[in-house]
Amino acid sequence: MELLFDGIATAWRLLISLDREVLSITLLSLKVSALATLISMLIGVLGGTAIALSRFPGKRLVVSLVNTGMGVPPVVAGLFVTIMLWRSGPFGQFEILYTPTAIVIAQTFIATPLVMGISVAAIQNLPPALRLQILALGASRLQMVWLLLLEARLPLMAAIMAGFGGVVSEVGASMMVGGNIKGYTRVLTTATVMESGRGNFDTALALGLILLVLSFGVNYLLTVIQQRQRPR
Amino acid sequence: MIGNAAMLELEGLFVKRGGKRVLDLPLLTLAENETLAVIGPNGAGKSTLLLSIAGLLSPDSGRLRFKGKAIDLSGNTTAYRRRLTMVFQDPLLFDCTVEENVATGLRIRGIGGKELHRQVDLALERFKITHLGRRSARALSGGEAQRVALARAFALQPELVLMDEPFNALDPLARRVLVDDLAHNLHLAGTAAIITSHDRDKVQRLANRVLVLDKGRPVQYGTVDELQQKAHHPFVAAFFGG
Repeated sequence: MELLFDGIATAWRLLISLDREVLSITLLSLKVSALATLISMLIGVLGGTAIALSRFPGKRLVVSLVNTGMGVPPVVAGLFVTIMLWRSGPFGQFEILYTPTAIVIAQTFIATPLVMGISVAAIQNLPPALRLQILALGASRLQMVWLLLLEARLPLMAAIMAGFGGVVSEVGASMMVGGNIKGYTRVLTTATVMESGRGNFDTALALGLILLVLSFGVNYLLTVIQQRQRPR
Repeated sequence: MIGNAAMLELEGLFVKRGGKRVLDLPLLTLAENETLAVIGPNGAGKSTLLLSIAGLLSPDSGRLRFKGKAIDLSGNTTAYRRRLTMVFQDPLLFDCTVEENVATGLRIRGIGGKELHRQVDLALERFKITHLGRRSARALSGGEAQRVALARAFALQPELVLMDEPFNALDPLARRVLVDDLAHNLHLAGTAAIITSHDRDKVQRLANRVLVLDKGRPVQYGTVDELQQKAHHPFVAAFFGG
């Protein structure tokens, strides 16, 4: 318990002293995870909606692959992105391995299946006749999709929250493709692992608590948006 | 067809699903202000007919003319669909307030501001649900929800309303009251309508003419009186009590 209280005290001290390194790590964590979530939201929600609304041969296989992607370990996604971005790999010429961009790419690979899988389920869970009803109200195809997205906004926001939760808490991929470089690619999770490995449990705990507060803050914001204007 | 010129003309409408005929209707016309009831046993093709007319289902073949203009049901039907609307058995309301539900079709047409509020208020008033305006659509009874669905449809001032067994889920009392209000609103708006139903009283109350379908084909067509006097099909005899 002493260790826990020491951790809380250290976290508080680091926060109120506006420790530059901690602030930069926290901001980078927020930046890369928010950007990865945003990209995943665009690809995942739109892709998931397209899959849910269309009929094509092999649809079940595609949905199964997306659902499998929801459970891919971050370290595997990190390994894949590392190979792709390695100097001799297909995208090696861009020289973005061990940069924040590489972390965004790896985290996008992790979050997209999560967002897409939940989006597919959310749209498929709407009454099938609702599409006909929307069209019968005179909607164009685009208006119909927009109204369906509005109708599924609760699970879709949950999908985005799951995506953000999945990437802000992962460490394997960020470590592999970012390299945990001080002041450049070090994020809260990689810093926590590093401090823990050094035996600095109070600092590790402090970073973990900051991560929890950050995650809560973002999820609270998303929840406020999710629950907004819901009539009683 | 009665009285005025035909607003809707269907010719050679043929729909099949899974290689099986679902609907084969050589000819159907509907006059302005006319209410046509489509009756028949389950699987007769009633819903398929309504979906085809609504532009929500592309038939295998057939021609449709609406107020003299040919409509390509296999192409983009958005402009045509904005001239009519359809109410389903399930009210299919959106997860928002009653007012927002009624406003949806108007917003789709780009109507906003005071005009939107005026039309929404009028539709709510006509279906006697003004007091429910701010309520969540999820918190309504079956009868209230169906009133909202009808208000949402009539708010659009459609030239034709298609109704696919819209009262089936209601209890007899709610059904009777709502049918009266619907008849009043159809008369008030002068809107043509096609309604499918399993309810004789409702058909008698609302319809000028009746089309009887069985296994996708028309088996009798005429006024309610004509069908009551001379049934050409066992279903008609059973429906109107012999």
